[in-house]
Amino acid sequence: MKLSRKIFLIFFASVGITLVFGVLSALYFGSNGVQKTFEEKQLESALQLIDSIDRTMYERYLDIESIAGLVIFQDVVKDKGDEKLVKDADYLLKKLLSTSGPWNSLYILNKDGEVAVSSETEIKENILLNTEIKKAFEQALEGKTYYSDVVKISDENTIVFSSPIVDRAERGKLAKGVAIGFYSWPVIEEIIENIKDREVFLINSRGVGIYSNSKEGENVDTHNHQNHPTFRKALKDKNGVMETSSFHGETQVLSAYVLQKGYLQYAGSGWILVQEVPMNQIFLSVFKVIIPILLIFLVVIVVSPLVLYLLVKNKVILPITEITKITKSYQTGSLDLRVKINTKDEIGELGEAFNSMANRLSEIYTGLERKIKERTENLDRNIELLKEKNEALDKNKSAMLNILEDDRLLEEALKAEKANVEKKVEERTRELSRTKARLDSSIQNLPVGFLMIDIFGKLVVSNSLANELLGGDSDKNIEKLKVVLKDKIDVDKYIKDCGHGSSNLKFSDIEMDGKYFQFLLSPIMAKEIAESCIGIVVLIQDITEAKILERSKDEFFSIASHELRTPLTAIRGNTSMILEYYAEAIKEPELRAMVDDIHESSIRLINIVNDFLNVSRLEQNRMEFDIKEFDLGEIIKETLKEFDVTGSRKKLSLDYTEGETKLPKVLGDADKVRQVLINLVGNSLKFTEKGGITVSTELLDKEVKVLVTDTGRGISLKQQNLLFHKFQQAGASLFTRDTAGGSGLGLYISKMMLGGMGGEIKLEKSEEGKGSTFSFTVPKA
Amino acid sequence: MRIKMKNKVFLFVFLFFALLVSAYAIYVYIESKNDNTVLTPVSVRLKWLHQAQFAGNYVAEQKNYYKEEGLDVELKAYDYKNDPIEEVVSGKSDFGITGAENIIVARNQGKKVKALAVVYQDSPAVAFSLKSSGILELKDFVGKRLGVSKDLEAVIMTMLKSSGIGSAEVKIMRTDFGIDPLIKNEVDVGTGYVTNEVIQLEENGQEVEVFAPYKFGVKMYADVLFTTEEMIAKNPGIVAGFVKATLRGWEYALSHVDEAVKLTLLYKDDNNKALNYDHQKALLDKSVPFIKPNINRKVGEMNYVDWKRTNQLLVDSGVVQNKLEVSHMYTTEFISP
Repeated sequence: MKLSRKIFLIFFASVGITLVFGVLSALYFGSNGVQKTFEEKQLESALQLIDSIDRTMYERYLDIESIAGLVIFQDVVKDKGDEKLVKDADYLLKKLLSTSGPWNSLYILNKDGEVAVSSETEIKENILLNTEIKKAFEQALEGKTYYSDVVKISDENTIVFSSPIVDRAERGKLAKGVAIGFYSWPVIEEIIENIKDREVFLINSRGVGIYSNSKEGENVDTHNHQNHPTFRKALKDKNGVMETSSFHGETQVLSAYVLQKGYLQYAGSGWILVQEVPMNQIFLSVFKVIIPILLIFLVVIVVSPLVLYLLVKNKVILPITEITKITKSYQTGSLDLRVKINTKDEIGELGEAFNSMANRLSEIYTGLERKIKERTENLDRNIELLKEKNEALDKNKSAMLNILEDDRLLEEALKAEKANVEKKVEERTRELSRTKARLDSSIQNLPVGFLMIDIFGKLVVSNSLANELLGGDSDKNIEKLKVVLKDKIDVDKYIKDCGHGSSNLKFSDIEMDGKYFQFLLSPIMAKEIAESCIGIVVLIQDITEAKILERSKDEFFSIASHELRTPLTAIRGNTSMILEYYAEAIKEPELRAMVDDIHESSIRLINIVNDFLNVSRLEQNRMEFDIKEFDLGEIIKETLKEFDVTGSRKKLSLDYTEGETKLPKVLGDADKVRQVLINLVGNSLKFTEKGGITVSTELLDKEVKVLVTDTGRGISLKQQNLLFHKFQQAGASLFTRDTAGGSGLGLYISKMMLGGMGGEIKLEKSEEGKGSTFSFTVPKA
Repeated sequence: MRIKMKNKVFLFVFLFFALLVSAYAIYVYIESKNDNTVLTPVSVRLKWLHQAQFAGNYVAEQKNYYKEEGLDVELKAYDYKNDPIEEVVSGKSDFGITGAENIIVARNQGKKVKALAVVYQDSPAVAFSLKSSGILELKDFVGKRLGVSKDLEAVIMTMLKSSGIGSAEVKIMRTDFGIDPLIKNEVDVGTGYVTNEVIQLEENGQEVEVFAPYKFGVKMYADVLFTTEEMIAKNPGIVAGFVKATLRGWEYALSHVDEAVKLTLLYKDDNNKALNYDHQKALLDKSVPFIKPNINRKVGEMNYVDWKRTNQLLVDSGVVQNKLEVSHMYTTEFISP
């Protein structure tokens, strides 16, 4: 027998035995449980049934109370004579009933038992003949709502309800009448009739059957069941379930019995409701529950060993079979096959062990052969390696040759490049030297002496003229320069400071070897090369000839003036004497006018010549200043007195406004100051047509200022710039000076004179058409 | 991980039992869910805005009576757009509270609704007069101006009829609800609810004479719980639970009026404002005799004759024709003892 079959049978047997026991015990306990549930259900439905009967009865109880409470019936039982009232009450009572309603009939009786109103068309006058109805009437008349047990009224199972009609005004007093209702039993019968799946018996408290839905035994409902065990048990236990014989035979039934409980005021009549279900029916229903369970168990019995068998076969049998098969294959000599097992259980271990054994075997068989093969391969590999190394050597050799070749090419390229560069440098140099030559010759040919000295005092360049003037080579040139300029400037320092602070310097009239020169010194700021300066340039110009020319002009001017003055003075003196002493001789008016003209012209000429002389003296610094302390105020007053303004045609005023503080003494040449004042006032008078001239003083820190203000025609801005220059008058044109009758040197002379005394003259302000203010200052003493 | 062969068999057996145990656990879990944990959501459309008129429902919700029946009840206030009958018939709400007359009308319109319990056994609709007017008895109504809305006419006129006063003997003025017509002396006798207009007059400090139809035997059910026949057929358990919990809530509310009013105050009016304690207390106090007219009676009970009487009032006033049998309009099967 195969292993797999053995295992299958073992599983089948063990599972089967377990399950058979399980099923048997389940059947035993299960059927008991099912029966119990069944019994509970029976009891519950019986309770529900009796409840619904109770509730229906209670509703009727409420109904009869409601009817008895209606006012109209209260009134009807009182005043039965009122026909309309009776009619209304009758109508209402009939309405309250309907064919499908629960009530068979309703009666309203007065306390004497007479029917007041009735739902019946034929009023039965003496319904109280029936003892059950009479009982109901009497009970109600005592003030209680009453209900009967099941009674036969007109051969029908009926329950009689009655309730007292009490006057609402006389609550608590005796009833005025009674409402009686017959509840038709068929309504209850319907409830029971609707139960289809079980037999129901309703039995009254005396054991007499009231109603049953049983199909067996027509009269079973009226039988007396007083001695039936179910009835007895019900009286004793009220509710319960028992196995007993049926009410209508010997059949064994499961019987649920319930004693009527009633509902609120309706306490019930002690009825007993019994529900019977045949026992065989119970077994059937028990089986209905059990059989599916049994089927499931059967399936388990069959399926679970199968599943187990398949598991064992796959996991155990198949691997073993495989190992067996492979082992057999080894007998034929092939050792290639291996067991494929992935599990990690004992079977897996066996597979692994088998595989490692097989590996070991094939190693032993194949090891030697493989080793020889390996060694041969190694040898081959070594030869191959040697070959490769040779090749590599060859490659290195050729590579080195290549490198040498490359060097040569590089050298050639460098040479070519060098030649190229040299050529360019040469060109550039040539160009540069051409430029230098141009510059050199320019410098050499300059009409002035040119020296360039670096910051270390070394002569860089000098042209031939400079060499000639300074007498020789480089060092001597600089020494000579220093000597010549020693009065003016320390040349060393200037070079060292690089002209810092003084920048360009100009020295004129430097005498050297009997000649006059002008020296120009300038630092060389070479911004392109460095931030600082790189040396100085000295330019030497020969101004000897210009100097001579100027001096001869001055001398001429001076000599000419002197030589002019003497004859002019003679003319003036003579004309003056003619006018004074020979007035009789020249009575002829034309003659006299001519002499006057000559006299005036000579005076004017003398003045002009005086001006010229003054200018000449001033320019040649030959004017002498007699500097003394004097009273400026006095001088002003005296000077102004000399002007005869009153006799003038223009009627101008001339005032001196003295300051509040007394003027201090000033230091200067009083005559010169007076002359300046005369010039200014004279100018003002000359150019003023109306108004007047005011002279005032102003006290400054170190000097006194004299202001001359006129109301004349003013000086235009253009002309203001030309004031204080030679031969300039503040006239409209340079060619109109004659009209003013002056030399045009007045202001120039004034400026020169004040300059000699440390004073200053200037135009304070001037406005065309409104007047001008001139001022001059004289230092305080 | 290495597992031995014999362990594998053991593992298989173990898994088999583990499966059985977990299946049983799932079964127990589902059973327990069915019993308690999962509540069935149920919605109720009320007859009016939140007020002590529905105190029983509030008590049932707040004291978890609904939860004990496995229900998660949502109490929805009346909002003018949603007629409770329409809501329940269309299935938007599961239950409703409405007047018994509406059930009768709906049945006559073919809507399969059924009353489950009657909360207000009698209509709180009354006639009232100021004591100062001298109208102290029904017979004093003769020749006087009676303000009545269409809704209340039937019950008020039936009450007068019970005292032998015909409709021709009073001047009927058609008015709306409210106390204004009486206060403005537009009418001599006003009509309204003892649970609202009468309270308002009393709050105004007026001495009021009330003429309640039920005192004259004019029986008419008012607020009833209802649902559809379909709901009853499909979910009798839910219906039984709802009715049981609601009536339990009412029994508690009537014996603990103060607490019931406080629970009522947990609900807001239509403007989301808190309700007034005094007014709600007065409302519930006045409601007690309507809900539990007799100490022996249980809340919710109803019977054939009273349904018939309610129906008859509607027939008499011409609202419906007397064609339908009232026993189909209600069921007492859920009013459990």
